[in-house]
Amino acid sequence: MARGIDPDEWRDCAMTLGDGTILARAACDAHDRLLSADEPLFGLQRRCGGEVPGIVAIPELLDLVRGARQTRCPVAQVIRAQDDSDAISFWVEVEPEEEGCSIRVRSWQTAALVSEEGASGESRRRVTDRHVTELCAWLDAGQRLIAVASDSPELAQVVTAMEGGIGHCWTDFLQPENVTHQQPLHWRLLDGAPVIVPGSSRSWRVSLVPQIKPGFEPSGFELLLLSDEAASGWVPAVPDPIPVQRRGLVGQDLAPVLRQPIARIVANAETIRTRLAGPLPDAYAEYAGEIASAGKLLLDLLEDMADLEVVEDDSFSTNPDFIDLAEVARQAAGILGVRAREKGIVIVSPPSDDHAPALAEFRRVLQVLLNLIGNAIRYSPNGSRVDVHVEVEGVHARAIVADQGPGLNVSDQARVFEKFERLGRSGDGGSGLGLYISRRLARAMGGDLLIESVPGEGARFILEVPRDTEA
Amino acid sequence: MIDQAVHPANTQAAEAALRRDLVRGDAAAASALPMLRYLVAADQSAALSEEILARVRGILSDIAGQLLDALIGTADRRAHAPDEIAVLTRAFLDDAALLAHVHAVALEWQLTERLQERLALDPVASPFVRDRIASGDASAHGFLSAQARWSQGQRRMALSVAELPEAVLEAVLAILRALVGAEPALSERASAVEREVRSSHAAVSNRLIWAERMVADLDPAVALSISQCGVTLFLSALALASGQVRDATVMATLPDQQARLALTLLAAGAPADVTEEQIRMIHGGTKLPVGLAGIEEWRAASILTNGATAQ
Repeated sequence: MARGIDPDEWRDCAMTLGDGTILARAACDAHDRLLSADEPLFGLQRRCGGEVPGIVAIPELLDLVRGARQTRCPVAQVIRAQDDSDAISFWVEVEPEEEGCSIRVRSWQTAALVSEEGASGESRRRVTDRHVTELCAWLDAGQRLIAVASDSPELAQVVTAMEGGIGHCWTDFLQPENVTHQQPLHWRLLDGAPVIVPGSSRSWRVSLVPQIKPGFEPSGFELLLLSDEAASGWVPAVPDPIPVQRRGLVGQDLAPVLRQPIARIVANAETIRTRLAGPLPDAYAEYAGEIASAGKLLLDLLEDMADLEVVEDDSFSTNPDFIDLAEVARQAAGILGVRAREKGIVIVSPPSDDHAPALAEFRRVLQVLLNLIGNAIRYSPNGSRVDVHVEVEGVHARAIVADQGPGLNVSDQARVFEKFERLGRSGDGGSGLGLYISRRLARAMGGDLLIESVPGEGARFILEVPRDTEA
Repeated sequence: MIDQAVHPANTQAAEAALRRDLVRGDAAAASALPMLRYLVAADQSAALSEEILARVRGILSDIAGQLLDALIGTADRRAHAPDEIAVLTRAFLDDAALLAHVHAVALEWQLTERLQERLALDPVASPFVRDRIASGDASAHGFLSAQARWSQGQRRMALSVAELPEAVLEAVLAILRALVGAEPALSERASAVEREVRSSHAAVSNRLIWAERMVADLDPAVALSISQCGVTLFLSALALASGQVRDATVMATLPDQQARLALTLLAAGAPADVTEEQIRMIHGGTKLPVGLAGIEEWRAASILTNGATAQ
């Protein structure tokens, strides 16, 4: 792991091995993040603005590591970097290792940065200032505004004020901080002065570039407004370098944000439908009812889609519990009792002394049974019966949901478990995912989901899970 | 890992790609010698200096960026990938009108900066413009802000599409249309962008329009003095008075185009001494073309139009 060694001490830590002197070692992962680093690399990573662990912050080293990782070939070269005060060059060897890379540092040289002074430094500074300035204004010899240009939305307020105040001294619009003297001061005193910019919370300074004919007073100035803080609207040139792990779009991203607004739509539509908020013509109450049911359908679909992602993931597995299949069936029947009664359907659940000990994940079994019983209610005629019973046979425990609906022919029985299979139905609130998901769940638990049906005589869905043989 | 079993179809595709790259490499190699010969012989070609090439490249990318910005819209604003910019920029290179204009813009800014350094000539507010501002000329104000924006843009190798002449803008939009034509969703968006760009282009006067307006009824004695008017107004006045295209006038300010500059100035009605003075201003103490005094205005114009064949 990362060690914080005193910079003077790291030389003593250098290891001499059979393959030469290694000053420092480091390791990167599959996303070019430095997981660990010895000094002096650790310190340089920090001074370059990076973290450990964190993406490699030394630009040349990042290129090298990325290249080595992608090509799976070891590489070695000199890396040049610079921190606050020094120019640093060091020899590194990068070797791909598992998903990432290992890094060995073999030499380390630092030299003080050459500071740029005098005319060339001055002109370079001016070029930089002109490039990064967010507002540029032209002044006459008396520092009065003659033109202003800026494309920063943050400075729109001050630009408008300045455009309306052509001919006035610039300090009327950009008040220099800590200066109470009658304005304008001599330009040399104002050059580099911090100023207050109305409408911006950043700290600013001005740079005054005189327009000088040698031997004369300046005939005018260029005023540059600069800030060392980046603008809020700044768009990063490189997208977030840390790739996101493969994850479900619907389940992890969409479902959480959609659930709440849809639930609110449903709740409000229900309020309108039941006329809780005041009297309403019948037609409008019906519309509200339709909105509510469409919203519920959307919620169900969202849950199904999220489940679909989960069960289709290669790494999906269930956590088996010791459960009583009969007890879960009774709970599922209880939950759907209200919906069944609305259609005059009777659910016959297993008697309370009936038991079917099984080894399966409780909430997944409940989910499957809710789906099966829900389907039975949805597709059975009013006033019919849904029979739920359990049995134990050999190594299996079974829950059977039998309805008195139209039943399915043999070819439909094969298709009914397919993804998005609706068997020609529509408008009944199904997504065509329920049975597909249920079968995936049953199989993930080491069981299965089967169907037995004869057209006209209803259907029997059989959930089979491993039996708890010790019970 | 080496994939032992290469699919025959893949081999064909790989061969095709290799062949394509080879052709491209050959073309580059073939053009390398003439280019090298030209650049070495031309000593220091001002028109193709590294600075100018970098600026042309920068301005083209900036225009590409503006179009992409407009295509994407403000909702999901983001920095564009270099590849996206490159696709547009490469398409721009095929359009002579756009390329010539961007080249002229880069040269104009280079001249502006050089004269600021050498003659302390303000890139935005020349003495003439300052006088006009002092006398409360409204069009001088318009020109000044446009010129200030343009200068600031040029320092960043940026050029707003609003600054393009109408013909060049049309060329840019045609390129955009051709590029996105294949995708129905994009081309619908592109038509909207086209409308936006056109209407905002029509709504504001750009720098060149302001400049033309300022020099339109100006005494040639003032307008044809680069130290009085500044580079931008001088070039606009010169183009107007000599009947040349402005971009061509900019090209005439190159060091190896002194004859053209002299003739253009004469054709614009500048006396021989003024012509010589302007050339000296622009190029420093160089050897001037001789015998300028004897050439009349109409003769200069005729030589300019008919070139070497003029009798």
